[in-house]
Amino acid sequence: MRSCTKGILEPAAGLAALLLFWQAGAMALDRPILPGPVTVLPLFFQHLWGDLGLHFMASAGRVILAILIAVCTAAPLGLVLGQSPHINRFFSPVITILYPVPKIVFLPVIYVLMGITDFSKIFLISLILFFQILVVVRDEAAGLTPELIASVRSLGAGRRALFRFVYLPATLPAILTALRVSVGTAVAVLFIAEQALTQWGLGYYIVVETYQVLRYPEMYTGILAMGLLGSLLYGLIRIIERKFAPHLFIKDTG
Amino acid sequence: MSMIRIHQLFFGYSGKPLLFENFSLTIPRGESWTLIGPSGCGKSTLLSLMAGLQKPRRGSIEIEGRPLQRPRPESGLVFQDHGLLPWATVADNVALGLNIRRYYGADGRHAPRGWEHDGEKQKKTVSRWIQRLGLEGKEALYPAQLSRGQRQRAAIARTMVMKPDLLLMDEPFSALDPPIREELQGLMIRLGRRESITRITVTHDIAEAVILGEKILVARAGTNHKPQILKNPVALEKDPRTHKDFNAMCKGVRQAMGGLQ
Repeated sequence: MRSCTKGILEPAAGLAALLLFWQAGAMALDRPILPGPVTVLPLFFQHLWGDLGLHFMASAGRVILAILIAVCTAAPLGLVLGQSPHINRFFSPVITILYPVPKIVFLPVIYVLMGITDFSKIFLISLILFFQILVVVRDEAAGLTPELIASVRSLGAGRRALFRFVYLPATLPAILTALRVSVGTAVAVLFIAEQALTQWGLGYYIVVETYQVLRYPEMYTGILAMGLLGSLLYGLIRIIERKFAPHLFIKDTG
Repeated sequence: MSMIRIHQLFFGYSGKPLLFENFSLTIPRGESWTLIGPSGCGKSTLLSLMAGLQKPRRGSIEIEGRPLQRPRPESGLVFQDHGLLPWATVADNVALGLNIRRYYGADGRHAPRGWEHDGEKQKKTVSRWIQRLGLEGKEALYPAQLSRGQRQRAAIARTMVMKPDLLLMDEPFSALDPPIREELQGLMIRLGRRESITRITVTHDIAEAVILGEKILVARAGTNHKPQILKNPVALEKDPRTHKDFNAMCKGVRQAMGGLQ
């Protein structure tokens, strides 16, 4: 019982401290560019059921679609690379060079090639996630020893069962971890991509609809929504991780 | 009746000289064999050929009178590296083979036609073998939480739930400390005799070869043509390790290997 309230109490206290700090800063600065939570929070909850909610949904939809595209393309490719050293040696330099390049630099290229459409924005975000997932899945698949594969095969597993009992459970946690650490970058890039030629999305809302017309309190509701989007995605991935990869949460004693 | 019949086997890795050339070998049912030889002599390769994990270049391997096409679930395989799934608990690891069988269903290939999954029975089988290998109370632990010896026990339990008629073991106890190694060697002898399982153990340890193998196949570096087999009655004694002929037998194996071990 005590540990139960403790688990809620501490984060709540932290949140309260953040709001207090924000309010104090707003009052000290006393300028329109930094309204306090007393102004912003009621607006936020009010607008979340209106236009802000729709902008939120547009952004969330793009990120989720990008995640799906990235997982569906990078995970199988990572598996192939991880299990076949020959193919990996061929692709390794390509990946090594492209992996650290901030994918946002491809924005103009993507816009020219694919047009300034919703899909080009989604493509850009999935490109970021693609390399993150590709690299971890590849390394994870490479870590599966031949002995492990052989012993599972000796228990009667063919290709299908190997996928179900080895490759999927071996790489899913890595995919989720890659997503969790890169979801912040994805949201950041989404913010930039949404500033150009769209009518919906938090990036558009924050820059075009509020900041440029000096609606500062509304701008902060957009920033809050962006924070909410990031932390919801993070939390969701964490929950899936706990469910599907419980062994990651134990202490190694061996 | 023979368990394994290898007929005019040719095998070698590409770009390297053949390990086996026109190599024939018959292993009778219920016997316990050990394969010994210097590293690179092909003893592990021979084991993986018998497991169906590799295919002969020429020649044939029959197990229980049927040509071997792919790994058969009745052949249990135990490696030095236990091969447990790190993300699965001991209970799930031990049940893995049964779950794979259940996943495919009774298709006549992965499980006999007419076979039906029985959850209760499976649970009982799994917990019986967990108990027999002294892992009770560890069912919910992950491999990382076990000692090396316990991991190898879990790997053996996983193999035993499949009711193997043939056990193929590649240096199964090499990574273990001597007392645990001796204990597991004793355990495998008891298990094998009670269930009358044909056992083939690859080892580089002469004492282990003498303790576990009533026949000892000595492989040579380079190409193997005719199998060199030593009969070893010591392994059939109650306690081979303390038997009066144990040292003489070890000496015999050492000589057969070329004396330079």
